[in-house]
Amino acid sequence: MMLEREEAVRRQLIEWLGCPEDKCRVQRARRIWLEVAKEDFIKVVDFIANTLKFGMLCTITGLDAGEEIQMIYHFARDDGIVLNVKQSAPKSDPVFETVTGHYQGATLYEIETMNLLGTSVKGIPDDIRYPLPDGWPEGQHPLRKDWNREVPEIKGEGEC
Amino acid sequence: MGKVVIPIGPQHPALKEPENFVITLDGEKVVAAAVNLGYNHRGIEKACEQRTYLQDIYLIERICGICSHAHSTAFIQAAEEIAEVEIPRRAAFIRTLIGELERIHSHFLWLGVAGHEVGFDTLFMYSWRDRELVLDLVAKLTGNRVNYGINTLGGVRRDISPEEAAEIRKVIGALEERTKYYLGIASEETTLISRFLNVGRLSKEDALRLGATGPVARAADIKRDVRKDDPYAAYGEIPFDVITDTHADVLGRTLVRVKELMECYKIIRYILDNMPEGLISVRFPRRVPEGEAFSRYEAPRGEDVHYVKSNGMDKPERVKVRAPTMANAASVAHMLSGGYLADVPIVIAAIDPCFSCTDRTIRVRDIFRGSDSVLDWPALRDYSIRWYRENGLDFSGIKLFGREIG
Amino acid sequence: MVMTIFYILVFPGFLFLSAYGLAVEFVDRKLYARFQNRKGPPWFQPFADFVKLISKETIIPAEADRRMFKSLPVFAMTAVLTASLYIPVWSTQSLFPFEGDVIVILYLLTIPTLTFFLGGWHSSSLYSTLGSVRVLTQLFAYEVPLLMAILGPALLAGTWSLSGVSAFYAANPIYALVNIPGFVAAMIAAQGKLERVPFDIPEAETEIVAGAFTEYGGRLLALFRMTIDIEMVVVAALVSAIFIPLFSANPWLGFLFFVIKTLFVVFLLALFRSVMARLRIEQMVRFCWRVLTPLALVQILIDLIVKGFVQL
Repeated sequence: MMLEREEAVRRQLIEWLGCPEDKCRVQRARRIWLEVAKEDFIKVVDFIANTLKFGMLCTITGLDAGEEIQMIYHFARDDGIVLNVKQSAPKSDPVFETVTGHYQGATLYEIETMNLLGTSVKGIPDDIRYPLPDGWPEGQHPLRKDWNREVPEIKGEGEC
Repeated sequence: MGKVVIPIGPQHPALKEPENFVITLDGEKVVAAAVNLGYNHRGIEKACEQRTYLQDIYLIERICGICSHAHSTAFIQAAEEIAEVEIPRRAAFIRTLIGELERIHSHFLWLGVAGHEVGFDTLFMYSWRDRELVLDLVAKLTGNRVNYGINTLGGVRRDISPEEAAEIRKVIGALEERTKYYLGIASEETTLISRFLNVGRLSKEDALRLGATGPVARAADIKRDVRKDDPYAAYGEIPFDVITDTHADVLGRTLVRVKELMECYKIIRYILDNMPEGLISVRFPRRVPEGEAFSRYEAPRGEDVHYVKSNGMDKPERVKVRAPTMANAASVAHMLSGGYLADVPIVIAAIDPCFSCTDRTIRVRDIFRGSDSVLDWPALRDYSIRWYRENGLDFSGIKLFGREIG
Repeated sequence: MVMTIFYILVFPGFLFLSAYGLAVEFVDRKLYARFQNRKGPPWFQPFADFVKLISKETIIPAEADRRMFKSLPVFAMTAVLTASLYIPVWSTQSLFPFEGDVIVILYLLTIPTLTFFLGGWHSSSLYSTLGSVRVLTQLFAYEVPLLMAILGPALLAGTWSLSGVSAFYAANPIYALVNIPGFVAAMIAAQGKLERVPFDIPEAETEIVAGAFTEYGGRLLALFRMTIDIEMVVVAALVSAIFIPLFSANPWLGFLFFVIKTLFVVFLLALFRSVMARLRIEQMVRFCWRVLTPLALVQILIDLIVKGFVQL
């Protein structure tokens, strides 16, 4: 196979993290998936940004995985390799650390998960509405699977 | 005058879509700038979870009118990767061809908008006239000027005949001449250069730090192009150059885009010369096996990424879209500060913003009846007639083209 | 008395200038459109726009100074109409010529610009205020070169009366050749006076919506629009009377020449605005002081030298 570069990155990650082999897999050329515990996350981001030199955070995908809220961070490197790092937190307490310390452009992505999935990201002000409107009621997070489809009454729309 | 806070948007003549920039001015100088987004949120990501993969293509294609092919291709690539469907080479070539035609019309559109923002309406009219050539061509190939609907799961829906290929060559030839002319304007016209040079600077370090993408990054001398770095469709076998520039300002972004047009023509000629024979689509399973995939696409405005997660059913579990403007939004506030008020529109325009893409994701809600059903066309028409009648305007009896309009 | 009222209200006063102003606007828009490879408006479009604006509701912002807001368009209109009385139309003579009327015309032409500033300022809106500050900044940049560019030819003619200047160049058309730098400077400054690309900075729509006019609408805006049209005729007539020595003793032929000359100036103005991008205010001010003013100074110098030779 021609996945030498990908395997090299995977080995580096596993050795450094000391995690089980199945937590990190190479899906195909240029796609690596990694699962980390919430506690280790910032440490891992630091390693990814400074040692592995992944220069760009493509986006953050938040998703409702039943009992948990999962966050997937898609890091990209200029040689085309994309490293997708997953971390999860229970729905009752979906608190995550911010990655803006390493990737400044991440603010909007984090605010988006806060609005749409009701996560809480430490280090980001929690009163910014994006992309939901300003008058959107508290506690309504459309991307949660149990969110009812009735659009709530939006108060004070159009004021800025 | 002391410090003045001036709102640009959500409704403002410089903006083609609703978004809001709060600019703090000291005289004509911009002291601080803040970007507020979210006026275009339509709940597309949520809606995708309630539709089948095939229906999603058409929904996703409508995230944006200009880079519709970018979004649908990025989504389909992810779906095909999960389903482990390999599309025929000919289909990959056709996708690439349409993608490049889309890039051409997007860049021509941008050139016109940039001209308009600095009051150079002649450039605006010229480039939009030329853009008609490629739009008509795309309409001929796919049936639509935008939202082509050529992509389908497992390939493409329409083939390119030899006659159509000849037509493409003709249009490309004409556009190439025009592009050389615009390149001349962009590098020689004095007033244009004085408005573009050293305006909206974004150094290489800042671009890397803020995660800029597309022509904004390439104009800051960052060789970042998904077509080259992470090839998809047929880009792996097509020779082309990644255009970069060292100006790192609006002029650099203009030059990068105009030169990229020349690369587009090169790519399209290569595709037409080397188009493989064969099928244009293969069967795609109705139920997509469990899995997830991350797909990248170099849209005209920068990197467009989609994440799709499947739960083994015919509807995706999660679809995440990140449009290029979102990645560049962080850079805009940085580029605006320290400049002049007069440069605000062109600096915003220079990232080629597409805020519908960025906000993509609320359903159309019938606030008048309280339900959230979607109005169809006759219902919408009846409603508008009723509304006008209730407000004292009755159009019944007025004939237009021989038909009563009221 | 009857004749005077006829002159002021009908020809070459209010009615004629309004009609000709609309015609000139049409020519300008049509040329602009053709330069941009567009079809352009039909001939009655400026008139239709005017009628439409007149019939629209007039909205005055709550915070605006109502009296000023309403009276300023009338002031602007009156000033350009008065200026037109000192401009020759069918011969080298204007209606009420006197020594020094060149200066009076230039001052009268400054009044509309000042009303734009006051109108914007009294609208009390952000965009209007920014626009009016730009109006004033720009005024200080182009007014000096415009005055100096016109001063040169007047010095050579040895008179401060526009009619006198016209008569001098009509008698000695060859002298007009030395005034070409002044013509160029005056044309560029006129572009600034008329607030057109590349100097449409005060009303740059993509930046500050419509500048000083943002809050204006309906009748009041129609008056302002008409003022700008008439101002364009007056400026074109002023520039052509001084720089283009094409006159005739026959009033009909003279009038025809007047039309040809003003349309030629309008053609140049339309050409300018279709080949350039809008400058920034600070670029505009720099350009006016570093390029345009020296050019006008050179013109004065040339005229003084030529005058010296003539008198020898």
